Amino acid sequence: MDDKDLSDVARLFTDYSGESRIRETLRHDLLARIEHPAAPPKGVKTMLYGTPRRRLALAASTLVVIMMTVLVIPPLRSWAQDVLRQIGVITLTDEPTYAEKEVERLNNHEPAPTMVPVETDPDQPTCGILEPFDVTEASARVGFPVYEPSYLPQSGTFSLTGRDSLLGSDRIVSRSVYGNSTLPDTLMLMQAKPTDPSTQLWETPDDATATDITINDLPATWIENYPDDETLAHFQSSVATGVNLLIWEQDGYTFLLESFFLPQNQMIQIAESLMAAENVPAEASEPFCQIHFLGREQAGNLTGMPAYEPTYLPDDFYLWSRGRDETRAIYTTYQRYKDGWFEGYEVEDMIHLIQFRTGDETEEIAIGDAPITDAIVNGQPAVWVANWAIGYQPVDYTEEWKTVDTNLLIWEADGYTFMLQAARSQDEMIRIAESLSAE
Amino acid sequence: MDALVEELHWIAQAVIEPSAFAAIYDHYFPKIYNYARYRVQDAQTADDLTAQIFERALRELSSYQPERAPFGAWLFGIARHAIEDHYRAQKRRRWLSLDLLSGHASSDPPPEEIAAERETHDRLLQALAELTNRERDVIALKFAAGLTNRQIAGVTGLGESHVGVILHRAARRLKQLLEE
Repeated sequence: MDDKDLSDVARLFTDYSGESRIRETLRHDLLARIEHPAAPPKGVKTMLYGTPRRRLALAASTLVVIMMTVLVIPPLRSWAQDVLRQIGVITLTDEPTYAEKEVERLNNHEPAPTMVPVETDPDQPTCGILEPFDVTEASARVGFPVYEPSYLPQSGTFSLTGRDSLLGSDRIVSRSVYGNSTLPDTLMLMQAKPTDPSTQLWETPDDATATDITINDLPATWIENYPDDETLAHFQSSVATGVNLLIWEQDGYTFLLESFFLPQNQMIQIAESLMAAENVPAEASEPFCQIHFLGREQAGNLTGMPAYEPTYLPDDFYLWSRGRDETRAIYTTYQRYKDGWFEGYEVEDMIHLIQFRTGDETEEIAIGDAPITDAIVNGQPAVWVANWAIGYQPVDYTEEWKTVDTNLLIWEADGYTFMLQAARSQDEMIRIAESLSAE
Repeated sequence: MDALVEELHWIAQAVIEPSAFAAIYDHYFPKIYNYARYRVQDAQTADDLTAQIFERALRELSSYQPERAPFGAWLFGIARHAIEDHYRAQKRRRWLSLDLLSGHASSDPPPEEIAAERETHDRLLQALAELTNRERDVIALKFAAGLTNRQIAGVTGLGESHVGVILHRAARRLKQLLEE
């Protein structure tokens, strides 16, 4: 055997750690968790977002970047030969599709075109960092009055460790954490406001034993010693085997109070002592800590156009991610979700909706030789592109990149241009399109 | 990487002392990141996985038992599980990366040295894809993470001599692929 082979190969490898975008923020986050041991760890943080089912959804959303790739707007090209159709801001050309070109480039190992570096937002807060600001500032950050208990138990000494706020796909959450100087307990109060008032923010986990009680004569749920594995793992708790949870709705908010050891009567006493902060600004003053996707309202605020959503989706499809491209477009992805997990990443498991601002620069979308036919959406002319190619590679990297066909439906409504991409039938995609609503 | 007295001191203190954890983090971040980068071949995914690996390491640090394995072996065990989970979660496909699309293409040609480096990197990744999963893992532990053969043996459960054989075979195969 020749050691020269090893040294030759070694020279091909590069230290890429300097290119990591998370090195410093991750370091800061991890050290803060050690410094503030009561700081909610991952498990507790995810409780904030609801049920284990919801938790899984958030975990899956970490792959949002990969999923969003399917239909990111191809950049304007100057090589378009023939314009096949124009609808709204979209121009369809007969060039090979973006995926067809990119797959060919990847399989030929040709270098990628130079990209403009993605700049991180210096105003974007790091998730999971608690700060000991008062209830007025906490309220200003989320844009609604944060509630604070006027009673805390005397068993040990509970005191405020810190607060933070997060934006989920369907809720804005303010969280307050109280540590205990003498007992191995932590008290957490989470106050969630749904971005859509009809959204049910809490579902009792299937494996929890729940008891119906009341808080200030309002219905509430008491769950004792719930085995929240992630929370317990974080605290390395050798004394606790679960968490006690009290959940109720009040004044349009969903509250969740969590402790390792406090009994029901003390938790109720804390809950009934909550007082709302006064003199709170009507709008949030701080950017939210975003977990991978924009809320519908925030997407609207950032782009200056209402974010449309379908009121009809095929069975088992749920919101997976929402993003934006400056103020030009809002991207929303829906994915099949069943039996506690997003089902997969096959082309038929995803539905993408892009809403373009009409009147801005146009978008050229190359469709190659995919056939175009006319369609009707809510009585207005639309364009149907069958067999539009997108690109993928088997994840074990042993095979070449390939393309797979999907469909496009493009139409205008209310002054916006919409594009729906899915491997679904024309009838079903039209049904989704016709159900879009800005409400 | 070895169970140094200094490292054991860091680990013992790291659960409660940020500066101790910082020392561990600063030492291992490049190794873990590069290992992930060459296993998943995508910068964004490598970032996500590296974050998961260190978050899990912090959560479970107090359960680490120095007498059972060197700390590096324990940490790389977490890393290997995270990457396997990543593949399982993705099922069998990945889609064209956002990194390829997130910026608008520039009309300016890339600097020659950047283009050359990228080409080398792309060719290496393609060649790595031709190896078996075990060969890719061992190669990434050796050249991306910078582990010794003994350390790789500790991480993978293979014999040290077996690691050497795999490395030589994989290196030779890589060179052949790159010369084709």
